[in-house]
Amino acid sequence: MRGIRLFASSLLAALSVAALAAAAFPFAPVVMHAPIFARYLAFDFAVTPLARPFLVVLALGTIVVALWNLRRGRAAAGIPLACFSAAMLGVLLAQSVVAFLLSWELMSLISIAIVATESERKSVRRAAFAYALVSQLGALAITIAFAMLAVHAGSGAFAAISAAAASLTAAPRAGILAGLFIGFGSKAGLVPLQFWLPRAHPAAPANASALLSGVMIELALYALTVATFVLVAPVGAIAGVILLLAGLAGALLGGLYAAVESELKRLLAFSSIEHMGVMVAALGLAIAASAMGYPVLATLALVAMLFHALNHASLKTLLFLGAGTVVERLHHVTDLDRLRGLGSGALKRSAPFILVGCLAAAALPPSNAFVSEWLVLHGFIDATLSANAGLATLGALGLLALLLGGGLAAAAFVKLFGIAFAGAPAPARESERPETFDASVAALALAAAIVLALGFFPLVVLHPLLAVASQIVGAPAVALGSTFAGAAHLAWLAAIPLLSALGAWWYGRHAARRNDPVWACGSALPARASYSATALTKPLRAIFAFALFPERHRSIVPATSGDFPTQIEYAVSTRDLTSEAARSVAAFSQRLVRRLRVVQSGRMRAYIAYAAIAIAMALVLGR
Amino acid sequence: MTVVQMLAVLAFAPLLQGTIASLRARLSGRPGPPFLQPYRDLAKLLRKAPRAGRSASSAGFLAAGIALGSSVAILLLLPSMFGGNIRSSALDVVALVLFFALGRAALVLAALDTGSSFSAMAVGREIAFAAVVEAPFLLALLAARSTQASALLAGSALFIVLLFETARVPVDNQETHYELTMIHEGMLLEYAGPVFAAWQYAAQLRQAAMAILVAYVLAGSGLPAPLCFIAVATAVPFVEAFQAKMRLFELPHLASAATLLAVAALGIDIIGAAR
Repeated sequence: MRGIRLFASSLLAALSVAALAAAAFPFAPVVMHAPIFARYLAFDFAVTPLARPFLVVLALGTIVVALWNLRRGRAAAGIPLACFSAAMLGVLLAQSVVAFLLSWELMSLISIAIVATESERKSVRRAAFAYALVSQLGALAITIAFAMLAVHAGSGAFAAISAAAASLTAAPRAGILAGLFIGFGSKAGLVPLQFWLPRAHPAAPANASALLSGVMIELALYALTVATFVLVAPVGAIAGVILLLAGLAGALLGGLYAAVESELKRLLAFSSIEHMGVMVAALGLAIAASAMGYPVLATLALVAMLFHALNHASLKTLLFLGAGTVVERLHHVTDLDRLRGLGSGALKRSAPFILVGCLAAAALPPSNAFVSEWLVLHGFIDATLSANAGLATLGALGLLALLLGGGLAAAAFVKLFGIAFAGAPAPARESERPETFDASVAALALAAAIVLALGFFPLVVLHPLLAVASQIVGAPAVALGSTFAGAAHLAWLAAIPLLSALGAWWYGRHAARRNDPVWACGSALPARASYSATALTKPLRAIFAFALFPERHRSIVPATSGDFPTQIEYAVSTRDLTSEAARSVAAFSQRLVRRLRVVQSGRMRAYIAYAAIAIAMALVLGR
Repeated sequence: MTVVQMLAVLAFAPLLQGTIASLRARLSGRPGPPFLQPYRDLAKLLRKAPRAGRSASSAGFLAAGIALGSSVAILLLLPSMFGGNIRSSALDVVALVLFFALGRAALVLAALDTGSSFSAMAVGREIAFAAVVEAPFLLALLAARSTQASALLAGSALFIVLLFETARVPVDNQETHYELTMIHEGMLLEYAGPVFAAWQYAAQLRQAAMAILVAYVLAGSGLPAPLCFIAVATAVPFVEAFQAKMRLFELPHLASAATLLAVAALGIDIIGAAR
């Protein structure tokens, strides 16, 4: 088993190095032609400038997961994960329709299989089925759209499609864009196609979740960017506004559901929807601004999106792997209501790194996501302050939604760390060994180091990203110097709290320890009575009841003797807004169909009459 | 000038706290504490031995340090009220909002670290209300560019945000000591000595920063910023003396009111800019 583990990890590491090498040293295009239909069935692979940031995303996620996998007992998922990463590499390098579709489908199928790893659990089987359904319907939409593009261009190569895109008329263009938005948007977890994501991403083993949530959805973002800025360019302001609004809805709903979620991995998945919403909103802003004649703003939004993608990959890999460590050390307990004090208990070594990840996921300083969120919000502020009333309204709307969503996401991660990691630990089990600094902790440390390094030195990546973005927008040598200087300055401002925290810790190092009980009105409360994550978010459920539909379930075991019941159990459930909407649409169509059922009388004469009418109409109309 | 203002705030933030408390007491017919009482409180707390509570981790010290540091970062981001027009200086509103959020996150984590249920109860309220006032906070700071009307609307929106951020009536009552209703004090229930002093001082710095920000927005109407600052500092005790504390779940409506005011102010600006 040790051999397989090492082999799988080195395979992953090799893929990571390959992706990084491709990003750093673009190779000459590789073209393989099939003997028949050579125009359409060409396999082109090359490194485009836009793919390079995402190659770094892939390299980063893969190397961290490879390191985490090195620990004992994690051999199983290694080889499928390496295949998964290879397929994702194919998606990023593909430069023709067939190459792209094959890589995309391979990526989808392997990821479905990985989600279904623990298929003995019913919830996992259902999640994998929902994911497979959405994934294959999305692939169908993408295939139709790509086929239309290829037929229009008379070639399957992306370069030819891009060159011919300007001559597309409005109707097929809208159809193609709709297909691509549905296909890529469902993979990205874009509202309203996100319902599968919070089930499927947490259902997979942690290292696979890390790649799904940290890398694969970023690839969907890459595909959306390629579609809108390369393949069907220029797409026009309306497509940008649609993406913007879908992104904002994702940021809001993702933040809200993350805030009230009590299951660790589902919380992280909802946070992925929130971050994806931020990125897609930035993409939509870039498209709209570019169409309305604001190339500088478009470039800023695109740089912010690319940087946020990089940051989300690092922080989400870190957090999902951290959740994996929780799963292993606590024997599959991932309910925040049952986790206590892991920071000084079972996850003593991992906790500081997970804290870094939580700060980043909440876009708080000092972290890389803080800087990129700052850039995204500055894009929306520039839109708000522009002289174009339409753009200004979009900007204000964006600020409103992003801040509310971001505030809710901050609440979610403060809850996650505060409930599960802070505080006094639960008494350790007999068999439990204290956590040591092993490969899995090292993986978390590596990811946390990337989060902090990009937070303090954002310019290292911002300048290359600016080159990519300004080329894609087509704005020559855009000056974002003052904004970048602001971002760099900001990173150092974030050092002040860090330094003062170190100072305070130094001061408190020799503080006298005291064992006074916590104030509970004079009585000692049992550990079971400590505040739970569900209770902590009660005010949020009350405020946002209109979107969460909270319900309280209470079951009482009556008293066998005396007046007090033996046991009372409370549970709270919330429902998903998009599922509710889908359900009401389904109910409406069912009502409609019930009305129409009067024509189905079941009498033979009626059907003969229908057939006669149909034939008569066909004769009259077909003349 | 920002650094001079920062030093002034570092020195006089407790005085602002004392002034508000004293004025409030006098307005409600009590003699009240002297203006300098917060300095005495801080000195007394600092004289106590540093001690850590039950969970015995250093988290309390770390978090207090983060809160103090983020307050200092906020002060460095503020526009200066002295020397020249306050509206002419650039203001990084996003960074301001996010550093406020960092200070709050540190406070909330420190509160949860104690394991006290009263603190956690307060945390639940704090994170819920923080999430809904972040948007009006930033939008109000962005507005107030074109007309006096938009400046006044944005100023009142930001004043409501100030009531949330500084734990004032009708949101929270700093003078109550009833565990079930406290928000800010509730989170600090388990802290004492120098760490408690650090939390108090960080909160006072944030309060002064918020008052300066409201003055910044109101200055968009053409009034001098120091005058606006004094107006805000006296408006707070008036509100506290003559308003009752709101029911907890009425507060989201207050936050919505702030959001609407800020959006209205921004709308006026957008229409003004488009003309």
